[in-house]
Amino acid sequence: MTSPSWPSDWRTRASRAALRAAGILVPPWARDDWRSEWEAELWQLRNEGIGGGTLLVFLAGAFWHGAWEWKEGWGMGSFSQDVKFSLRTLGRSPGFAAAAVLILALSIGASTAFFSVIQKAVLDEPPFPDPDRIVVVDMLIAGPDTEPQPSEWSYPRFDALRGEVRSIERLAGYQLRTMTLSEHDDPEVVPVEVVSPSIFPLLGVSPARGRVFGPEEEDRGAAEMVALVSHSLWQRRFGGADDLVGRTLTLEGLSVRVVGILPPGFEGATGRAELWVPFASLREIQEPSLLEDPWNQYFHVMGRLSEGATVEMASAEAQAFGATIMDRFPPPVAASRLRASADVVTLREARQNPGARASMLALFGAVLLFLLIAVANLAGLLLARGTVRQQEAAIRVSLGAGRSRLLRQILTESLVLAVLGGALGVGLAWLGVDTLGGWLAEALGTAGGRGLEYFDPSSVAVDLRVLAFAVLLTGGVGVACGILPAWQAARCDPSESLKGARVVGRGAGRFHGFGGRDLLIGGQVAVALVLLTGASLMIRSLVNLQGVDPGYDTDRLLTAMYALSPADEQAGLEPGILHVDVLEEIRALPGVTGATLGEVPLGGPTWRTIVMGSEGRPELTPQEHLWVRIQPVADGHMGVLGVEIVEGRDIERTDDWDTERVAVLNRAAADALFPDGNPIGQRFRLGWSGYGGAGATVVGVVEGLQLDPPGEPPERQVFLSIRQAPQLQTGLLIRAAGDPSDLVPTVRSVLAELAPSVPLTSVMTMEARSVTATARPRVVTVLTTLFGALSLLLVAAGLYGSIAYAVARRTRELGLRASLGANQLALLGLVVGHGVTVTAGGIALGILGSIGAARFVQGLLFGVQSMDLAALAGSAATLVVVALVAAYLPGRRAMRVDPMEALRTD
Amino acid sequence: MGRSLGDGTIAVLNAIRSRLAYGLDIVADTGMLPGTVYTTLRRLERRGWIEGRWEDPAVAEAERRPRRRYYTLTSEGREALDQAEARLEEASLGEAARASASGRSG
Repeated sequence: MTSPSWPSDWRTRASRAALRAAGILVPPWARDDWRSEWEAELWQLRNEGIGGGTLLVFLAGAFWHGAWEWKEGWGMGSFSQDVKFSLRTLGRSPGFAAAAVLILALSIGASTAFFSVIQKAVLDEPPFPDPDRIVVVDMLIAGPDTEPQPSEWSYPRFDALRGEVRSIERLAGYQLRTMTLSEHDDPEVVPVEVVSPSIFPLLGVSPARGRVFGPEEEDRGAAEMVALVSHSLWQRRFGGADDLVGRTLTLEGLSVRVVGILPPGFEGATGRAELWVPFASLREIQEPSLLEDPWNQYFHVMGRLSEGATVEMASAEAQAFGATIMDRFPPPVAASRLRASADVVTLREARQNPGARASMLALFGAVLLFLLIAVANLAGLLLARGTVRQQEAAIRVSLGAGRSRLLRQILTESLVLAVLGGALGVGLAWLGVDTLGGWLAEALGTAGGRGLEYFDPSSVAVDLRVLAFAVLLTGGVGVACGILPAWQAARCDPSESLKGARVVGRGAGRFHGFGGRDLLIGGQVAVALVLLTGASLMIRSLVNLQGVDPGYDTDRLLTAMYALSPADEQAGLEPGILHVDVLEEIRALPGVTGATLGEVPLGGPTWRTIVMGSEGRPELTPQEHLWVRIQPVADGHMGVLGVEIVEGRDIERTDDWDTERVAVLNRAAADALFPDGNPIGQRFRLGWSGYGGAGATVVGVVEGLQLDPPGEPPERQVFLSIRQAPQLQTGLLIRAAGDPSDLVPTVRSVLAELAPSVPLTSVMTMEARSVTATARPRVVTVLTTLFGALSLLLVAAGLYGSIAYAVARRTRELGLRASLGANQLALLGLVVGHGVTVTAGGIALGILGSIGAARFVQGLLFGVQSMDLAALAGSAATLVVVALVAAYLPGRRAMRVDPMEALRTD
Repeated sequence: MGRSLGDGTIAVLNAIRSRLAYGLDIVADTGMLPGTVYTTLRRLERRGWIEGRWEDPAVAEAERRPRRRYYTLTSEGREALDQAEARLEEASLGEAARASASGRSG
């Protein structure tokens, strides 16, 4: 007989374990059939590759059916009797019942709430038909000393790809950018997707009104520019006007005709777009070369697997194509050290930000660990109650009550507690899920590197899948908490139990050797150690992040950005002149103590280029080219921001278009460009189109600014004078005398007056930017610390309860020892020693667990290793101290046992 | 005359009448929650309206999977379903009649 071939993945294994747990509820005579039937169904589901919500609902069904079989099998009378009996016994110890229900409600509620966020952010499918057939084709670029990174495509390369790859059909390019809609002098920046027309059939969407783009509109462009509008933009900006299709809008200062409106809920490939234009529009909007230059890379590509094709086949084809890119499109000198290739990933994978995903899963892991502690804690409590009630049980058994009835009674009690806790927990989750979703969304943002974003925090809700998860959890918790006490009761020997009223239950409350309760406590200590170690790693990492010196003064700084469109420039707005005018007016505003232009830290705009040559080495070989991050800045930039000047001078007002071009380097750039020292006065050449390939003279060296979130490596920075290298886009940095937010209206009006068609965007205080930039580590830290603290509390309560109980049970033994001459300290040592031994065992296990868990958190840490001795030792020490206190309190009682008193009671 | 059957029960019986079905088929055909489907199956089985049979072990073994439990309608079950559907039809006819009557009066 060959056994069934089960898939060996964790989902299948976990599901089978859940089925076994649910099967415990089914009466023994029906259990085998029940199990076989559900296993056969599970096998089928898993072999069809079904997981996620369907699997959860299925497993919840198994628990439901198991409970139903119990009720049917033992008879409704017996079932309701058991429930009533449980409620009555719980009612007799309301403190215990309340504590148990609260612990369960907290842990089940937290798990459920987290699950509802995770299922939307991580597990949910992209909102397109047959999403598993949609793939993203990555252009991969590797530098001389970097691994291949997903990068963007250029139009000619994309066109070549489309002509050759057979296993992917409907290949479509997409790029999300912001553009300004400005009819009636009411400029609004809207997210726009620049797309291939095939993206609409690819994503399975048809227009709600009008039409989508035709294939001929992709690159050639028709007589006029065309656009599609999202349902929400149609409603919001155009009030749902019936005549919008056919109307002409002003986009980036150009006329575009609306040819269609897309259905409600459709937000494009990126999940954020409100307007769509075909690639051809870029010729007018930006520059004609965007469709011809093979090295102008700016968009991503997705497609649908052809009939019968697999991801592997598509991947092989893409790789084969990728290998030919460098030969087909020989790079300009500047990029000759780059290597290009291509590969395919599924849309599901492509849309997740690995960092956000790891944070989210680490948090969910922490919640589940907390749940595990809660279960062990409650099992311990039930076990203790079981021991106390063993005598009652023994009497019932000797009076003829069946053992199985006793078992059911104990299991019922645990299930009743679980159901009460679960119901309260779902209520808590239902109340808290909106807040949690919004909070996590802001902090964890799920967008992947390819600009794909579908997570909508407002969609997080307690739905059927979440309820199935909660039912499953509740059932599992109920069985898990009850199984050990039930087993203990089944082992109970009535004659033994009835013999001695005080010395009952082997393994109950002993000081030598270890029983079930000790195992439970040790297990809790172990899990708590993992949680505490994780939390302290997060705290240390966060402290490191916040300790990073930004290199400039972030205090009272208002930041914003604006960008001119090429149409603005054609209409006569000269960026070089406008930037300086805006700056001068803002500097003259009351309440402004300083202002400058440049890259806004944590905001942009960001430009990078290469240094092609330097003094003495006018033509660096491609192997010697250096990447640098450049930014045109206003005069006095370093002074306004408070950046330390190491050598030379700041950019000055006299560094104008008609004087020698100058540059200020940060130390990293200076060291790399001029390793022999003394960079001041030296010249170098940039390969940047905005600089016309001309050289610049170094006039200063500064420490540099932290432009990216702390944790990112510092870059080589080059500061140019904005009067010598104006760009269409710039950032504004304004130092206020008072609250920087007070300046927002006046700053807005300055720009509105000087350039009415240019909107001010991304207006934020620097403080708010920093808070957002460290939001993810902060949220992860706060939550893991919270769960760590809660679990410490549970462990302390569990340990205290267990030892206090043991002392109470062993009063006679302690008294005997005292009468035989054991001194008080020896008694204290006996009690505390036992508690510490159990804790030490748990810690040893927990260290192993922490080592295992380390790899899951490594990616989330900054400046600290996941195997950090200090974190481990600190957490272990905390647990030992807690254990000592928890054991000392009952230990004191043991010291005071009066031998005569103790021996008399019985 | 038995009491009238719930929609769920009728859906499950119908699914079994239309093909030799095992649990998942019935879940798929009726669109009901698995928990409800299996408890309904068990109830109907105990009432004698359907019959569950373990498939031939050889078949399952050949496909290296656990044995499935297939359900068929018994003659009693068929009768009960026919009656229930007849009653449903009557009821909907009656409703239509009432609707047209009120249409005339209005």
